[in-house]
Amino acid sequence: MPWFNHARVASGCSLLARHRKALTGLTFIAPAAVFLTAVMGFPILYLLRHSLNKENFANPAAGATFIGLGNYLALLRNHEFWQSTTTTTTILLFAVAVEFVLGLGVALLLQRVLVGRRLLIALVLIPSMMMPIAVGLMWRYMLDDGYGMVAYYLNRLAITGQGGLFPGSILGTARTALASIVLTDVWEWTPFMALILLAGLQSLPVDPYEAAAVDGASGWQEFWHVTLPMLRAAITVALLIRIADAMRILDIVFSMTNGGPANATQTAQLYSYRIGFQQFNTGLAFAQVVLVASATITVCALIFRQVARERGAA
Amino acid sequence: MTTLARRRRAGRLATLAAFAVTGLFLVPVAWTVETSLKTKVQAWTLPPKWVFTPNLDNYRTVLFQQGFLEYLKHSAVIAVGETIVALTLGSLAAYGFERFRFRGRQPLFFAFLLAYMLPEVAIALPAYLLAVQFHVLDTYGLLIAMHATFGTAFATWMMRAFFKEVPAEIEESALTDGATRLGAFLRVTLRLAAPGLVATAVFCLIFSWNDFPYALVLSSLHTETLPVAVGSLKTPAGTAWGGIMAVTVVAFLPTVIFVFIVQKWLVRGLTFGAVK
Repeated sequence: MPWFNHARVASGCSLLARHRKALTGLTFIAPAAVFLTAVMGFPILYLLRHSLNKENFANPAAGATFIGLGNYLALLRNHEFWQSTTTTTTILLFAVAVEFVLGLGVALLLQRVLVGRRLLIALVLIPSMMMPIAVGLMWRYMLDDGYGMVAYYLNRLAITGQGGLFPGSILGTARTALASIVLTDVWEWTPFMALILLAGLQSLPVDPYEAAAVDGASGWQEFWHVTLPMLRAAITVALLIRIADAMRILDIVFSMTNGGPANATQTAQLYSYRIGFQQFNTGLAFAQVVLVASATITVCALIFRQVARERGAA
Repeated sequence: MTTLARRRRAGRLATLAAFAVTGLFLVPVAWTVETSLKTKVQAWTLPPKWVFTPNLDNYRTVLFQQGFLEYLKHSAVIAVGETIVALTLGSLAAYGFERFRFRGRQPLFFAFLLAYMLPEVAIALPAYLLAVQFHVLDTYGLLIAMHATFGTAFATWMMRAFFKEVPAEIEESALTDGATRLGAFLRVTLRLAAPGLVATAVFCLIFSWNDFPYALVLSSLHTETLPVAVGSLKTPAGTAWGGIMAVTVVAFLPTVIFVFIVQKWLVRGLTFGAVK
C-alpha cells in the first residue's frame, strides 16, 4: 500500500491529520501495551535465553552451561515429549469436534426456545464457569470404579465394568482415562461453544431466510445452505477460542488422572510442569515450553487470519 | 397444517428439548451439591442415593477447621485487583483499536490476543525464577499482575465488541462541543457501553478466580488461592469426598451468582466482535 495517496489528500484528509489520528489511537493502546510487554516480555526473553543452557534449579552450584540447541535436540529425540504432544493433540481433536457438533445443536435449540431463554442460557452455562481444577475432582469422584455415580450407571449399561465393553478400571486404563478427560472437557465447554454460536445465530439477517422460504427450501436445506455459510465468522471465533484453550489443557488432567495411568494422559502442559518443577531441569523445560508455545502461536495465527478475513468480508 | 401452526409446534418441542438438555448438563452439578451434604458413609453408597437427610457438617469442617476462609480471601483480593487493572487497561486499548485505523493495527491486536492464548505454564516457569530474584514471590502484586495479562487481553477483545455498537457520531458531537478525546471516551462511550463493562468485569473476575497454573507456581503461604487449595485435596483413594464437594460448591457458587447477574448481556458480550 502506498504511504501517500493523492485521492486521500484530495478528499480533504491531510497526511498530518491522519498521523495525528493514528497517534491518538496508539496513545489509548499504550498503557496496556506497556503493561503486557513489561510483565510478559521479561519472562519471555528469559525463557528464550535460558532454553539454550544446561541448568538445574535444584543444583545452582553447578551453574549454567551454554549448550546451544542441545535441549531442543534432546527433546526431539525424547519419547515422553512426543507422547505428551500426541496426548494433547488427541484430546484437542476429539474434544473440540464433539463440542462443536453438540454446541451447534444446543445453540440451534436455544434459538428456538419460546419462554425462559435467558434463564436457560445462564443455567446451561454453569459448567463452563466452574473452576476446572474442581471439575476434574468432581468427575474423578463420579467415575470412580468403587463408588462413582456415573461409573455405576455406565456399569449398569454394560459400557464399563466386568463383562462390559471396557472391562478395565475407568481412570486406570489408558484408553478410558483419555476418553474420560475428553468427556469432562466436553461437559465443561460445550455450553460455552453453544453460547458463542448462539450469539452468531441471533445476529443473522432475516432476508436470506425469507428468500429460502419463498423458494420452498426444506429445514435441512435452509440450515445447510443459509445458516451454516452465514455463521462462518462465529464458528471461526468459537473454534479459535476453544482450540487455544484445549492446547494448554492442564487443570482437569492434573486433578483427574495426574497424567496416569503410566504417562497415558500426560499432556504437554503437565509435562512442562514436571520437568520444570519436579525434575528442576529448567533448561529442558524452557525448550519444551518454547516448542509448545510456537505451535500454539502458529495455529492461533492461522485461525486469527481467517477471523480477520471473515470480518473484512462481512 | 399452516406454516404458523407448524412453527409454533416446533417452538414448543424445541423449548422442551432445550430444558431437557440443560437438565442433563446440570446433573453432575446437582450430584456435587448433594454429595457436599452427605456423610462419608452416604457418599460411598451404591446404588447412588439421590434422596437422603442432608447435613452441613462438611461445610463447617472445610470453612472453619481446614482454613478455606483464608484461601477464599486470597482469591477474592487477587480477582478484584486483577479486574480493576484489566478493565482499565483493556477498555482504553479496546477503544484505541476500535476507533482508530493505523498501519499495523491488526498484528498489534493479534499480539494482544497472544497474551490470552499463550500457555500459562510457559510464562509461569520463567516468572517464578524472576520472582525469586526480585523477591516478589508469593505477593498479591505479582499474582494480580500475572492474572491481569490474560485479563487485559480478554477485556480488550470483549470491550472492542461493545464499543463497536456505540455510534461514533455521538462522540463526535461531544468533541465538537470542546471535549477532549479522553473526556469524550469516559463520559460518552464508556457510559453507553456500561453493560458491556459489567459483563467484561464478571468474566475477568471468574477467569482470575478459576486460574490454576499461575497460582500453583507463584503463590504460597501468604497468597495461596482456592484452586491451589482444591488441587492439593486430591489424595489417594479413601478421600473425604463430601468435604471436597463442599469446597467445590464454595468455589463455584460466586461464579454462578455473577453469571446470573449479567445474564442479560451474556450472549451479546461473547460475540467477540466477530459476529457483526
